[in-house]
Amino acid sequence: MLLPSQQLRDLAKTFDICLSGKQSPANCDVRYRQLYWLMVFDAKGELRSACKLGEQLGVVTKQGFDVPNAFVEIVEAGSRSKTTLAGLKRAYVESRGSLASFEALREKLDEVHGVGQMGIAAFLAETADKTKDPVLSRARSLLIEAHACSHQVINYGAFSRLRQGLVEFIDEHPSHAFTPKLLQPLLDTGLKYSFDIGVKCRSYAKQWSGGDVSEARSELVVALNKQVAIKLQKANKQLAELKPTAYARPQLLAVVGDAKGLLQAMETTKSYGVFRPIHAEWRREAEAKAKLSSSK
Amino acid sequence: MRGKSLHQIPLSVSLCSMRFLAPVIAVVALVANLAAQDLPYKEGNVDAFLHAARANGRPAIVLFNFDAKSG
Repeated sequence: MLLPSQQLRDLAKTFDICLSGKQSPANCDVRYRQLYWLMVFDAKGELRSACKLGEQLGVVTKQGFDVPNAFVEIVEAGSRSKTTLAGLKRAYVESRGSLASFEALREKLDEVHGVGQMGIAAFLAETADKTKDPVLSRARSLLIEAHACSHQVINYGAFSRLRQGLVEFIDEHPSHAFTPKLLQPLLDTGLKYSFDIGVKCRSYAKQWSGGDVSEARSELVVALNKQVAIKLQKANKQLAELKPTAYARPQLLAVVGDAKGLLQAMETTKSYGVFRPIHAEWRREAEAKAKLSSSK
Repeated sequence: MRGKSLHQIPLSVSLCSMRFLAPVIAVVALVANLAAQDLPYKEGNVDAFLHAARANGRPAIVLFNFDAKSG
């Protein structure tokens, strides 16, 4: 037991302690919300460290500490961390978005296991105009957002916003050096829970080509087509190896756009919680595709 | 008084019980209050908590997904 321990009472002489329940502090968005998290703030109220508490307690107790003393060790180590997220945000603006300051932010996000990641994505977009290359800063924002979404944000709205953000960015900045790097996050994360990604990518390619046939746009379309072909090939291969009742099967059927297969699989699939809007979209689009192919 | 419903209990007995119960309730409430004051942590409203810690120049620990039962 952690809470009634003498160690916690001693720790409270130095640190104010809050059990926040399900409420995460402002700018400290948390993924894997079912886990216990520890966040350590300095006297200025800046996040210095964060960790998945159960996991970290497991590591430290193996070194011979009991639970209350392991907790004290984790807090003290966290409070010794040299940087804060807020400090690194200031450094990013002061350096006008230098690569080194961006890398330092990313490293800190890794150190705090992604706590505050969506906040950093928003910050990069909001402060873009204060940097030397505002377009690059917006691209970095999308990259961080995609990384956050790929870590257990099964949220229909978050994926939809990310997808829209990536597609619009690529359309607006086809010749920026960073733009091709956003194709992979679009395919891997933005379209992770989408139905028939081949059709969706053809529609993006059409949008990006528009009336303009610049070399940059053509190269993007070629790269997208190549990457989506690889993605579909992989998904089809995985599907061939899966059992009919496998958990991952409906998602793969959706990705490859197998309307009939998906509708059959979903007859026995119960939609719950975060998957409800995603499954509703799959059903809607699969039914439309099946109807269209039967009328041909 | 077994088998009697509440409205059958004489008023004098009810008042007598309350006279004994009231101080007990007050003591329990006082002890609970003192215990709450003695806790080394606060619960809920994390932003107000962090604001107060910052105003007092104190470092702070937040345990997310925790309540008194979790510990």
